Amino acid sequence: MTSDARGNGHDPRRAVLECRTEVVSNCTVIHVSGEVDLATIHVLIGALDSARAAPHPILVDLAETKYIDTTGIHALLHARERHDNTLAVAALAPTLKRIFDVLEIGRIIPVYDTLKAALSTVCPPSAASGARRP
Amino acid sequence: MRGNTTLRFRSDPVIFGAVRRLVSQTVIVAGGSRDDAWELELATGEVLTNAYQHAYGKTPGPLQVDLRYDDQMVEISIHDEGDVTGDGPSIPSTLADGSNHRGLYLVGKLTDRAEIVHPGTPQGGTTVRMRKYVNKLRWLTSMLASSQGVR
Repeated sequence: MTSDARGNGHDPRRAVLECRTEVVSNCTVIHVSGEVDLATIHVLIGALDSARAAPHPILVDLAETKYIDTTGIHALLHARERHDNTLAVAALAPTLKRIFDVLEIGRIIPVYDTLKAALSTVCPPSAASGARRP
Repeated sequence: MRGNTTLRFRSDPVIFGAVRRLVSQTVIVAGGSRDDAWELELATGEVLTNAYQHAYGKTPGPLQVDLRYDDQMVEISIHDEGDVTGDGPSIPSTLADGSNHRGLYLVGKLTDRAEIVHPGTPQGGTTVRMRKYVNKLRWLTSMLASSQGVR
């Protein structure tokens, strides 16, 4: 099952942010496409809030994320804290990786180089459905 | 090659995206790399976000951006007219726990020089001034020649 949320609404001036959510194995995967900033942050927060309703680990795929500032990073930190620390991010472009490194986000949120690596570690198919990591 | 631009607008998150993209393009025009452009764009976005959230309490307020560049550096000054409490913020040199200072810490790390001035204008408010040397080899050569009295 997938769901979409877009941040452009009916306003053509807005930079588009799209969050597409799907359940893979035992994870809720959010594919974040576009720019995460103050104008679009509500789209990411909405997707994270919806994902938190399910008892699965959350995996945020940033492969198509062109821009993210500390507004977006704080949303990820907040969601992880409120979801039993079961949130990880994957597939950061080098520019995004630089921000995460400078802010030492990897000490708080697990960061995976690829979505495939994240899926195999965070949500292995053999894991019991609904299980939460300690 | 040198130039300058002044933008005046009301703080609106939708406009911020256009402003930071202008900064990014200016860095490229000045001869900077894509990494330079990305870093100054992000620093600009952080300062604009900070002004919106803290200077004006998430309400519209006047902002002015002064952008100037030459073939060595890009400098951007962002002025707000909002309230300042206490001594006001500064650019932190260390990464403290908690969420309040990550944006300004990032600004310090992504630029070659960053400072916050209170009051930013005679009327008050805050100015954040950031500079990035977009051609560090040319800048260093210039500084060395200057220190040795070479014309």
